[in-house]
Amino acid sequence: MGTKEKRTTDEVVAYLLKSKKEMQDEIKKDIHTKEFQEALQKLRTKQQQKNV
Amino acid sequence: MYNFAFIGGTNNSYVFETSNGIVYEIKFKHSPYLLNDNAEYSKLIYEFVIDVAINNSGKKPTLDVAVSETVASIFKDFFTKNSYNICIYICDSSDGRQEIRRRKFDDWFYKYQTDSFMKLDEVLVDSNQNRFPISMVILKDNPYFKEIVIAFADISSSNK
Repeated sequence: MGTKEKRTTDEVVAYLLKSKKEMQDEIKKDIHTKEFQEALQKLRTKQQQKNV
Repeated sequence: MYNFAFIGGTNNSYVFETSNGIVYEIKFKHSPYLLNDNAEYSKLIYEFVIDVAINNSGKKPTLDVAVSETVASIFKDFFTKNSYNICIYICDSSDGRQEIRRRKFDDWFYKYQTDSFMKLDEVLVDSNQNRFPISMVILKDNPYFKEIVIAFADISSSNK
């Protein structure tokens, strides 16, 4: 999306909202990834150890 | 505060879980486009997003002070990775709750920040007169501070 021209506020808003939506969609998908599951498991284990 | 984990990936993901079993994910997406993609500092610009990843409670998340503390700590951690990073956050106004989102973001920032950070607020008004609150967080000793502040102010007047 790079450009040397000055962008309008409309373009910036459109870009930011689209990007935010993409990241929110990515978060919904992330929960099924190995990396996410492993990180969550580590956090839960840490929390269980803290609670003992 | 809740424990959090850095997952990394393209968009610098962090994850944490509340005592109510709500899992949040935070992302910092590299966005050189936002201010001036030809500037030296463009490589330091990130968009910030937080969302609920898992909520099996069947209820909307309620106010939780520990969430604010955790978000603030994640911010600090992200800035520790590169103190010259710049974070930009836009409040979605599609459901009319943009001011609530801004207040939440303010809460994360003002209650738990150190004095080395600065937050700048603007409102982007599109050609349909829709208002989008937007904030930028930057460390005061960022070497590009002045240029970045000017560029940030500039995006709110670019429909003129």
